[in-house]
Amino acid sequence: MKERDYQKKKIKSNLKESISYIKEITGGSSDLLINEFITGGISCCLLCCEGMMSSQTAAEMVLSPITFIPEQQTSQKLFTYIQQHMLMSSDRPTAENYGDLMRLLHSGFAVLLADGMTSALAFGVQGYASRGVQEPSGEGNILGSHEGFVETVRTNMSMLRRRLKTPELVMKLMVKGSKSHTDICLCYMKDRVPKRLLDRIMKSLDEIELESILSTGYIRPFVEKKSFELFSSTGLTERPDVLCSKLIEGRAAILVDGVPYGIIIPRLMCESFHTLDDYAHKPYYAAFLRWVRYGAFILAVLLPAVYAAIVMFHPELLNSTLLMLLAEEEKNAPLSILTEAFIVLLMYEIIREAGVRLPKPVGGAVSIISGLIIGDAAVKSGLVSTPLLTMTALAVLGGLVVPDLNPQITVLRFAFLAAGGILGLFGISILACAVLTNVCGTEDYGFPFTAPISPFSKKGMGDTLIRQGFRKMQNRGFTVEEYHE
Amino acid sequence: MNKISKLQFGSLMLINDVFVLFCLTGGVSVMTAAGFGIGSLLQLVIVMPLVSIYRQGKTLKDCGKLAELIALLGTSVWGGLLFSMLWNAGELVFVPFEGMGKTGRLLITGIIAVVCVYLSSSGIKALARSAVIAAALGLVCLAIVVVCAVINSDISNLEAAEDISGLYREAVKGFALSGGLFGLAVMLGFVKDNIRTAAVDYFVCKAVISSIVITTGVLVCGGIMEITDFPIVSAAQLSQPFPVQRIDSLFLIIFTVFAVYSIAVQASAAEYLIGEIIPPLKRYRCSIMLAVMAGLGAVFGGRFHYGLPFAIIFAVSVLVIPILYFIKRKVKA
Repeated sequence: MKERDYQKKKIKSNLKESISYIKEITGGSSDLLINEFITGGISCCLLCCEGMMSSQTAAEMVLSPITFIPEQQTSQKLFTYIQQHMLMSSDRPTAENYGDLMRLLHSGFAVLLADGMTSALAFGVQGYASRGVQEPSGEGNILGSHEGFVETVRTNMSMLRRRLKTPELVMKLMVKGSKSHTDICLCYMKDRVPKRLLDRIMKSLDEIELESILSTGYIRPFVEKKSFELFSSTGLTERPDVLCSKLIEGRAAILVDGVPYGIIIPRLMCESFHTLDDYAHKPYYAAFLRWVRYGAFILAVLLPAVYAAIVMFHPELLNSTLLMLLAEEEKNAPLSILTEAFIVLLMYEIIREAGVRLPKPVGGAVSIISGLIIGDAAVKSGLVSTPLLTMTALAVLGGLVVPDLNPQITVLRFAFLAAGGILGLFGISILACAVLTNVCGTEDYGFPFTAPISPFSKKGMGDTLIRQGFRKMQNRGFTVEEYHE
Repeated sequence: MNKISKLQFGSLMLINDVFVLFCLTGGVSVMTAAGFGIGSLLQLVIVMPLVSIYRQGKTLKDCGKLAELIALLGTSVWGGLLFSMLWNAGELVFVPFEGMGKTGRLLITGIIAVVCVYLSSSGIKALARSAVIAAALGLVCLAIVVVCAVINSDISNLEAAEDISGLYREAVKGFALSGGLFGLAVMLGFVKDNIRTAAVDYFVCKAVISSIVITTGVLVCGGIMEITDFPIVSAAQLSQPFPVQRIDSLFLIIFTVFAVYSIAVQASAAEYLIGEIIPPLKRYRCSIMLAVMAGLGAVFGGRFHYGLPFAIIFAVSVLVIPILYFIKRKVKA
């Protein structure tokens, strides 16, 4: 049966026909539970989806009370009685067609059909298995909350509400994906978010015609610009506290059911270098940490390239002692510096990927084997020189300091290495110009990715180059609208 | 809206001017520094009529097709001269192609042209935003070079650098290096607000930076000016903060970045102008204009004239644009 056939089809008044039609729609799926019974003298049927609802709640809140309904003359009166006299659950939508009925059923609702009725009553008795709230795995934090998002969108919504107990926080649920019917929640502070940003996000979301939405990656391309951008102008976070801080700054966020991450729109580049801990430390230390991260990012991208360029084309930049040392080491290496660097970086990427994909206990073993055995063996056998390995390791470590930008760092590191190894500092400079322009051209919904550095905003520097104290920041009243161009 | 800020406008223009200073050939003296300062202020004077037109909310389009054509020609010629300067000074700076002769030049031109096409096609906004960062980094590097040069300089060099041409000729030389004014005429139309302040600030900065850089060059190379082809490049090469290593290779980074942006600005301006003049030409405008510029660069053959004829041509051309506007307005009235 084609999906569009039943989506808008009105519920049949004949219960038997309706049940057989539902069976036809579901193709006799085993997880559909059909409980036929008579209550109030009317033939009824309670439909549930196994595993999506709590059996205990359904029995206590729906099945048990529903059997004590006094005799009713018509099925319409039965429904009115249930709606007016029985508060079985707080969430009680009504379905008028089979599309809505199936969506509610598959969302964990118990759906009541009655003979002679062209509508169905649904009761929220959801109770599917889900992961409990745990510490985020990717966004480490020392002094802040240790709660991270989970896969259930409603739990995530509650985490936001717990932190922002204000009616200004709006969370709009919508369903996307013609097959997956995934719940998507658009969150914003209605007094802060720029209206045109909201309108344009809604318009972008309307363009989604995917069959399924299984991760944030399915939605992000629709809310970002179509042209080629190295960096993403939308961000991800798995921390409700971080998302709340962004909402307060006038941004919008999208939560996707089944994904423990929230999409932040828009995101600025400088935010990749901020952590929540920055706001827990003293400002001078937070500013120091930020500069460490900026430095680490530059090292991560440029260090292997600059090393290759200097050693191959500009040795005069080094002092004589260092030059001799490097010459001595590189003399024994059988491959050119560029090839060596490529092999080492590629080796690291393979090891990293293996570590990520393998089960955790094996992943640890991979790190030990690769780090200690392969690395040590490569240096001892003379395949790779020690200075190059040191530079590569430093670059890789630098990239781990800014995990948000890891994909871009990885690709840029290889690109700059090729440019530096083939054309020296000239190549690095040329590529830097192109990358810089691409980064500066990244702009979605009128918010430049490189703000507040370029376009320059003096006010924005207080939380970019340094971290002002809260006494100063509380008077700032910052919203992202300030950066709109 | 493709609007840029004052700072972005200034950065785009200053990068071009500093690059021209890097490529400056022949002897320089204190008089050159003064002449360049005066030349910059003269440029400000001749640009003022254009500024007043823009302040009325008009654009280059309102000056007529002929004005746009003049600006396009000027931009193309200046772009060609920038390529020519790049080839001249490039031999000194581009290490990977050292000794490769014409092939090296072609490679340099090709790579720079490709990057310029990308930069220009990214749009004025992206170019202007990145130019601010490039200019800031460039100025920091330049400041390091200048400080190192001043430490290693000899005050007697100021007198040692013989002034052979006098203030008038140096001012003309400074003025002649004003081909960037055509790009300025286009970019000024994109400035968001306060066009007059943007123009005045830019020319004042230009005068100050030119004078500082040239004076530094004189302080370092004053005694050997007669045998120095590129005084500013030589000054950077001779100024070393540490006795056992050379940091002048870092100068290569600024030189390359500034070269790319200088040409990209001209290419962007030319792309915009050709789009206005020939609206049906929608694709490859930037590539076509860059090819024209590179071709003109080959025609100039690495020679550049700082003399009076160039100064007059540039000045008259820039002045003709507002004149054409006033004539058009009169005719309409």
